Amino acid sequence: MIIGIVMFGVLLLLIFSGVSISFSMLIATIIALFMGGYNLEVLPLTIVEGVKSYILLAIPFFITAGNLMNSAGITKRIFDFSNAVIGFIRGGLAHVNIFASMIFAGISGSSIADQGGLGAIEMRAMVEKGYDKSFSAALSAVSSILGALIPPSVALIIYSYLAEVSLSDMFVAGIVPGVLTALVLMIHVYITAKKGLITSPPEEPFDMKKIIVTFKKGFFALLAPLIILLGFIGGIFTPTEAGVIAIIYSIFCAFIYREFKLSLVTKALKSSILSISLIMFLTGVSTAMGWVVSIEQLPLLLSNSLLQITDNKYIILLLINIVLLILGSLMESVPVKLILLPVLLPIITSVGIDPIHFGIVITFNLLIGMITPPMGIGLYVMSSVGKVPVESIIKETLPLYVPLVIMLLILTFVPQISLWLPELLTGR
Amino acid sequence: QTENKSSSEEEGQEPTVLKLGTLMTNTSPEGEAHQYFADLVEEKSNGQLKVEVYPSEQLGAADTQITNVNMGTQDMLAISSTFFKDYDQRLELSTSPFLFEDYNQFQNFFTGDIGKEINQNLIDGGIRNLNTERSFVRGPYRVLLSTKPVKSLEDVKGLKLRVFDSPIYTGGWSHLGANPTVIAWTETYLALNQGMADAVTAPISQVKSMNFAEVAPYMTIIDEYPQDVITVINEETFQSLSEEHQQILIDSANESGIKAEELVMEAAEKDIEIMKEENDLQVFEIDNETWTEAMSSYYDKLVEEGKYEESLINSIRSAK
Amino acid sequence: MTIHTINKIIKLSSNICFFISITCLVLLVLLNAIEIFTRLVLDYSFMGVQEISLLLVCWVIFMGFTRVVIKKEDISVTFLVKKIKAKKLVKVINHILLLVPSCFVIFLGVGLTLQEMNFTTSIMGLPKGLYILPLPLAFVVITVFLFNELIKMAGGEKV
Ligand code: NA
Ligand code: NA
Repeated sequence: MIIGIVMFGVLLLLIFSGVSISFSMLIATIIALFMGGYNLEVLPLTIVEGVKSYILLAIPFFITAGNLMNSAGITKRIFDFSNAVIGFIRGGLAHVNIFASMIFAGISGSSIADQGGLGAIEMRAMVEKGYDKSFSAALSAVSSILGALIPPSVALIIYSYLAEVSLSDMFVAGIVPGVLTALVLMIHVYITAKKGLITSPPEEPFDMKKIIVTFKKGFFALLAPLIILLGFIGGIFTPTEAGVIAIIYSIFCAFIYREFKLSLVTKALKSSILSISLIMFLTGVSTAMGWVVSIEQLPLLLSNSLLQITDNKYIILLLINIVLLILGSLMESVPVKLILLPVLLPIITSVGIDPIHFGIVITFNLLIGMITPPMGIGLYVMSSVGKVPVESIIKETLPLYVPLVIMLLILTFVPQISLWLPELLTGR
Repeated sequence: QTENKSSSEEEGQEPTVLKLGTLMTNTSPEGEAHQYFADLVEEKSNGQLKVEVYPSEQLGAADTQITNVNMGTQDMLAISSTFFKDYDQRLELSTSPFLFEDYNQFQNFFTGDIGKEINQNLIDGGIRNLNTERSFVRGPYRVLLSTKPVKSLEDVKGLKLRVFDSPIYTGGWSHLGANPTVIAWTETYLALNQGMADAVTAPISQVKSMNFAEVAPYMTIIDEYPQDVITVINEETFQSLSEEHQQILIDSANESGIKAEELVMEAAEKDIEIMKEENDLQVFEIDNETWTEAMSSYYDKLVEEGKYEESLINSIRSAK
Repeated sequence: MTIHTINKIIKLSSNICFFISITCLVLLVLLNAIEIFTRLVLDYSFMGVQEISLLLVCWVIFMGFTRVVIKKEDISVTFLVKKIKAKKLVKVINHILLLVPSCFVIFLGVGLTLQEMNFTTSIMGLPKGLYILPLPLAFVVITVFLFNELIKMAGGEKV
């Protein structure tokens, strides 16, 4: 217990003293290992373990694909088209950002892939149109959570595996919450834009001719998500492989659009390396921290005190939400899930909460954690991808927590949103 | 429990605490068996020896935990014996398809002379196997789930089978005429659903939780290889214990294996009943002798290629 | 050794790390692309792709991380520190704080690498130490870099 408190205390102290996040985590973990009298070789071992995961393999692929698509001129074509289709609404490209992420979520299995790939594309387009850079980064980070909510989703696969619930039910359960979240975000953008709370460059009038022109110009670019989607749904390749396909296809597009230059590819690779290394090194170090959390049995202490407070299922859900929001802001979502679910699931089922409903709540909650400092990897990805200081992204993200927390409360207290579609389709 | 407390207080010493990592959730039948082991140890030692169970890969992935037991960072680990192939190559034998005819043969082989040799090699590497009887059945048996019925060797021909990344395993199925495809375990459900694969092999205990029957409602009990779980302990930690406590650990590990078999069998029967009802699951059985025979030329070939020693294969065959 | 030669060595080793990282990323993409191709077109899936992919990923990340540190792309929260007057002191303390864990990672990483060289992966039989090796290697470069920065600061140079 003491070791855990000291570890997170040191972590926060160092982070706010300006020590880089990765080194802060390294130091905090080393101190905790020392205090606990553990063999220090656990540190390199768990760092490498955290990086060496097949699931995470999607990250390098999607980040590289995203950067390559930028170099290949695909971004502009996709955005010109999307803008023509939906950009006439008040809030213009901000809506396009959310809408595109929702569509992209149907191809991408993870939010980080969404941020690294589509996020970079969206940010560039928004900044080019004259949106505030930090706001663009914040919105791209926030809208990317759709990637893990709408199937296919690595987060939902991990949950269904841990909770032993039907994967098909879990996947279907994510659709309505995902679309609803997109809607809530778009309503938020519309209101804030109308009130002048965000700088939104004047939107373009609806023009059918423009839609046709941009569609023709961007045909091969627009085909990319479709190819990936059909390939995946048709079972031709896996979500991770979809990243590889995206890379190959973007090079193909660069040739078609005569924008292929070896120097551009090298540049894309170079910037990809920085983002990939940074994100995945953090994941590795957070796995090392997670090891200390586990061996110190912090989750057990947590669940014991939770059941002492109440056995009302909605209060328990609310409390779990609060705890997860805190933990999710301090740690990576996958380790949080791996550590906490075995402790939480017995509590959940004993008070009569449907595990599928809980899966959606916990996934959504940890997605908020992913864009919450100090361990908000989504913010850091966008900071690294968009070259924006992380604190200014945080500032722009703050108002966006309002629709997110509203959505979290809706998902928590209205289980039907998560359960309606799976019940309808599979009759469970 | 009060009795335990008073007796350890009488001795005036703190109980020795051993940290046991497992890969399974504590609510799974295997997980329950690990907890049973912990309880047994505490009971038999009058509370002087305590085992703390860390389930669900809390202490890391399999490889990490093995390294940690080796370094003594973690005391114990309960895991499939195949993970220790670096300590003795022969432990890998147990994932060779249709090499052993049944669990009995497997157990005979691994508790015999060669089994003892293997245990010694583990000890030389710093890790001791506590389950000397190899009684902890994993699975408890393996099945093949398919989108169309597989009843005989004939049905295997051209079957797009999801396999894990292993040359011997994949080679074996190719030998039988199947078309093995390497797909990640977590992606198997989708692969079956989308026709990327026609079939998957799995321990029966995982079939329900992975929902395979939803997309592949034909199940064949093939039990192509027997598998077990061993509970291991860091050798230095083991040597630091009294002889009495050492024996308690070994006995409890062997007894928990027997308990595990009960628990997993019971759970498997329950799962099958539910899947029959919910997914109209159809269950088939095969004649293992025929399949093992069909595979014998494969192992002869591996011996010729020098991948297996002939004497080893012979001693397996004679362990029936 | 003069500061000049140390600078040169740092630059060279940083470039080598970066080159390895990029090469491994390209190999990672090619390997997986070939795997998809042979599986889809030739109906043949070959072994060990996952093991090699994860090995490549380790090298991409840790070798790439040297660049992250040297180019000062590492993420930090600076809004509180910006308010402090004694900027140089903060920087010196910061660098010393970074040096300590770096030395730990090198020392522990080398030990673990040597130990894990005796173990092999299940399919390709690759020594497991190869997965760990890039971590201490990267931190050797990082440590030399951080140390050099400290010397520069002591010499009054602006970093
Ligand atoms: Na977006
Ligand atoms: Na977080």
